[in-house]
Amino acid sequence: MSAFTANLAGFRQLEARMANLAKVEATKAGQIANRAGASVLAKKIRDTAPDGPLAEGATVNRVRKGGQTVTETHHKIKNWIKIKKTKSDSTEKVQNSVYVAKGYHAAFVEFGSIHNAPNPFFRTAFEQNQQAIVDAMKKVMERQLIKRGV
Amino acid sequence: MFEIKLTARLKTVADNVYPLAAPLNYKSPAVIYNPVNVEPTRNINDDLENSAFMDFQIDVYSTSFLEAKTLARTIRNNLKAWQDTDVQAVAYLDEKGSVDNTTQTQLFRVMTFYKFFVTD
Repeated sequence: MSAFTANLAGFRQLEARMANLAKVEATKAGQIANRAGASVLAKKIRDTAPDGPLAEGATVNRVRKGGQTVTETHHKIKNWIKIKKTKSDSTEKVQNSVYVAKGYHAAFVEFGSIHNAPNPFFRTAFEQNQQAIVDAMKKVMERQLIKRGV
Repeated sequence: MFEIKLTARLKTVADNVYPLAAPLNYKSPAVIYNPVNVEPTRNINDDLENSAFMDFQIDVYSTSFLEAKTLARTIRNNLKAWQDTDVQAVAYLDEKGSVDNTTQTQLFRVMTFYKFFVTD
């Protein structure tokens, strides 16, 4: 909900180094660095995600509207925080998404519902670790550029 | 305490205001507020002060999407104009719409997010 805030510097030098790379190599370096930032966020979300008493894979019964009972497999939110590369709206941009792959109840936990207060574990992890995300991206980008000789 | 003032303020535009979650016998349209992040300020000795930046999620639930949307907008306009000695700034951050299917009655939900700077 809030803006992304972090200390950033060195873009002029970064641009100059990137200009010495073929576009495909620059994109690869950027994608790897971007994913490193996403990994930091995913780890922090796993650390703050609620961990209830039900075990991964436990069988639960859920009553649907109309009274029908369905049997489902329980998935712990923290076990299903994943990262995937997503299509960006520009060829000049790389992006990854951090998401909950299984555990349909994650949205109810994060945002609450009419009878349940929210527990914004996802947003909190994001807001408290913005600098750590940028720092990880910077560190990995530096390594990737050195590896590519620029 | 800020929550008391927020409840009173919301009640000037909505009849059914609930902190955290609605009771089972709630009335619609329902307004539910939740503090989702609190950052107290620190004084020069690094002690926590009563003043704080507080992020709130304010949800409006109704069986009518239009009713929920209209009330959410009324609340937004009301809070935007709020400034007194204890509430020094209100910033509207975002709005999302969704459907809540967790009860027998399908509810439309407008989630809004605000940041307040309060001194008590």
